[in-house]
Amino acid sequence: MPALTVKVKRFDGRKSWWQEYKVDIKSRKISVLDVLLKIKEEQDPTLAVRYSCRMAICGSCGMVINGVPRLACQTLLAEIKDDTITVEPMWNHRVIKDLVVDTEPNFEKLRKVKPYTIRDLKEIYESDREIGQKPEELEKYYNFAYCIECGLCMAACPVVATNPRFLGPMALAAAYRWSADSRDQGWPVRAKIVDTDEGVWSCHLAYTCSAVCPRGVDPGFAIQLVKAALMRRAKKL
Amino acid sequence: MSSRRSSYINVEGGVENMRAGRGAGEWFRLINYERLYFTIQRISGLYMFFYLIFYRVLFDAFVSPSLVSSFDMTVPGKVLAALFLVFLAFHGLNGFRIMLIEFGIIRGWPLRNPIRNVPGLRRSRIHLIYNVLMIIIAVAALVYLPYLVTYGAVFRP
Repeated sequence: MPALTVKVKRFDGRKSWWQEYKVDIKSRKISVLDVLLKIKEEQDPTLAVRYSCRMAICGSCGMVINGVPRLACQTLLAEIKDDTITVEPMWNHRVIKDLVVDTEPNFEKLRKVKPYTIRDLKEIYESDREIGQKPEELEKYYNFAYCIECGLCMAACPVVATNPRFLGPMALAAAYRWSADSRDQGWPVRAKIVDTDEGVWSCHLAYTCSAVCPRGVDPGFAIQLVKAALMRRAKKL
Repeated sequence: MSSRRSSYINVEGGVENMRAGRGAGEWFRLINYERLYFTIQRISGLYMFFYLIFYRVLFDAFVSPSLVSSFDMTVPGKVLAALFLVFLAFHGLNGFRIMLIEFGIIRGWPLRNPIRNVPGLRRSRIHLIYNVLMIIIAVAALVYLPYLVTYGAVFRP
């Protein structure tokens, strides 16, 4: 059986170090998460990994694999030709233990942009009218609604690395997604939140967020769409 | 911004607060070519700032104009000046590219794909042409740089 060398950057709350594991694998058609769980089961039960769905939907197993932020469940060994794999916790996040990071700041930022439909409640409750949506209206935001909030874009962003107050690609893409929804009326509110130094104007288009997004959400492009809308003082996205 | 849980974890048992990544060192990770542009944009901006403000203005005006003039005639002086020109060209071109994208002039649209969607800028033909032009200009500047250093006259921006 071919042996795989897995180097994991570990953290126990006090010190950080690289630990090397040798893993025997039968096939390369398994994911990095499978390898990490195999290590956990057979060699080192103290290794901390966060995961849940194993099919790139929950966004729990984000980590840096061979220098690129990826989902461990989505990254197959077949994609990584090398027999050595390095695994680190997501960059730009506070590490709790080993590969588990604190993603709460991402969600704090996400909540700031009000990621839900803002609409006159009176109209909703008192009217029998259905709020419809045409396919071309759906097309405006559909791609950006794929976000699973895994935080890989936040890990990849070089601006977040030096400016932790920057709202970041995850929250700003959500600001576009909800504002571009034809059923939403919250753009004027969100525009005030994102039209700041900590909002879209801190994005300098490194575009790594879009390059690493496991769902192809393209948050970098969403931020540019918000910038363009702000510059033309659009009443609606 | 601090996490709601971070203070709790810090209080419990004196756990160290470790942030993954390298801070400003994150600029130097090469993942995609736009990130390389981003890094060169920052380095070129810093270089031009220090070259103009510290060397050209402060040193030239307040310390020793004759020393600056004689240093300009040397090879290191010419290299610094030529680098300034190359960085100025890149900074301007890339800044213009970013402006075009921000104004919505260069624009693609993400392509839906069952496996993984294709980002919008990757589908923009104008963006591709602009990138090719930038690479051609960068290569031309790199070829011209040794010529400028060897045979160029004293350059004073």
